[in-house]
Amino acid sequence: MSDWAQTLEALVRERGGALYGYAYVLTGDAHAADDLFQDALVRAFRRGRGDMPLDAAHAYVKRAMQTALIDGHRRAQARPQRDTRQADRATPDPATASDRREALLAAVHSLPPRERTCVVMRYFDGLNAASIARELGLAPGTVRRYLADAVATLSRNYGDFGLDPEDAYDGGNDMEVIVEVRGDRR
Amino acid sequence: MSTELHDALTRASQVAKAEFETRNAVEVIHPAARRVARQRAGLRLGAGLATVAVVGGVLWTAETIADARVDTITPAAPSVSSAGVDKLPDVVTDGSAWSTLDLAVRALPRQQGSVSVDGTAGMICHHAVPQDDPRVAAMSDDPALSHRAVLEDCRATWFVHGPVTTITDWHVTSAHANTSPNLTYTFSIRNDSEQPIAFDSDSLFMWIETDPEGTSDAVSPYAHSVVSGSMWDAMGNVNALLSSDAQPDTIPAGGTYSRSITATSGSASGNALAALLSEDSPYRLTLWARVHEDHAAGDATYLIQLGANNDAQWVPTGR
Repeated sequence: MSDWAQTLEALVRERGGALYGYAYVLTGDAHAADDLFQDALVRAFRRGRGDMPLDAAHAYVKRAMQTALIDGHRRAQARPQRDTRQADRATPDPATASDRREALLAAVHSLPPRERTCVVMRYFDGLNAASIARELGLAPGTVRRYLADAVATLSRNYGDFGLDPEDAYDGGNDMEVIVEVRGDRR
Repeated sequence: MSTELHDALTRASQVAKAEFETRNAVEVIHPAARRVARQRAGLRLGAGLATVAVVGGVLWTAETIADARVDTITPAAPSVSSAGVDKLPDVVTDGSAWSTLDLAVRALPRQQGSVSVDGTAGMICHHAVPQDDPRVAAMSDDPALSHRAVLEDCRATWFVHGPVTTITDWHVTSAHANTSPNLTYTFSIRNDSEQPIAFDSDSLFMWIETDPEGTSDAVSPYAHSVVSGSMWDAMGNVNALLSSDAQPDTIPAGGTYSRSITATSGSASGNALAALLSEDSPYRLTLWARVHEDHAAGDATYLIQLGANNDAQWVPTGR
């Protein structure tokens, strides 16, 4: 078995649950999470030697999920598209929802992909805007705008559930993920 | 931080994780492995075809880009003719900056080893999908960036009678004896063309080339890399790159642009920058930037070399 195949198998067996959980948080749908996880695995292993440590492979796949979601949105912009901002339209009522947590998750998953990805990276990964920007290859100001828009949408439709707009784009931690660099292309 | 939102996301992740762990992992591994194997086979086939093209002397490919260092050390005789230049459109002098369209009509293939007295070295990087990520990744080894165009897939080009610039002043400082090796290139560029040059501020990068005969294997990977503040971050992660909505820097016709850029890496040992700086060999720096477009998303990205008319600037060890 080749190096990349061994790494892929070890990654799915040892970290698959965590990575699938992350995919689910990003998509809010089991089938979409399956697809995103598969796509991210392919992106992560289709080039390079693949004999990377599990931590690096984990980081690659996680980042590939984030960029896949962002890229899907970017490519979709080239096609006729429907309005994805369902959070502004069909607003679940948390007061009557059986589970406020479910309502909040539904709200997050109704956000456009870029805003949703930034919200997950901010509130699930705990990253600050600068780290999110670095990871996604976006300008920090762009990330702050996505976070501000997302918080405004969530607050408008779901009221006060503890979101502080200032904290959204000023709080969080610097990213500490180290990804191995391999420069030999041959 | 919103504890309620964090808790909701964490709980959802945990539930999904638990659900996943009840499955047979093979159901995930096999489909993914099959897709990876197919794509890797396709890449190998593409690489083989590219090699054939190089043998035929048609285009630069990944291999020739990697070997570009050799050209700068022992340049071949000039191979670009000015024939046909008169057929090019007149230079637009209405004060508008050089655009990709201006450059596209001046583009001629730049073969390995060629030099030109009336051309600006450049690269045209095509993207697989017109609306794909408009940025260019420095390396292809990072699988997470594999959806972006990479430098090795760019087409080397002369922009004949393009935006001519000269590096009027420069110096390099470096440190490798401490815990954070770094290299700073300070320079001034004069725009000698008749049009302003606008490039994306964040896209300016330096390319470090080493003598392949005089460096160790440890340095070699670094010699293939492009580095700058945006491309070589503090964590040693060669990351991209050129933000599509970056604000442009503009050098007016006859004007000068001065700046410093620094390459850093996170630790003193085990990385290519430290190895490069500790080697007893000179290296060469060149400056590149992406021509600014208001609507950057498209199927091609144009990179130009700044100060292209200067002789190679070899930086001796210890500078």
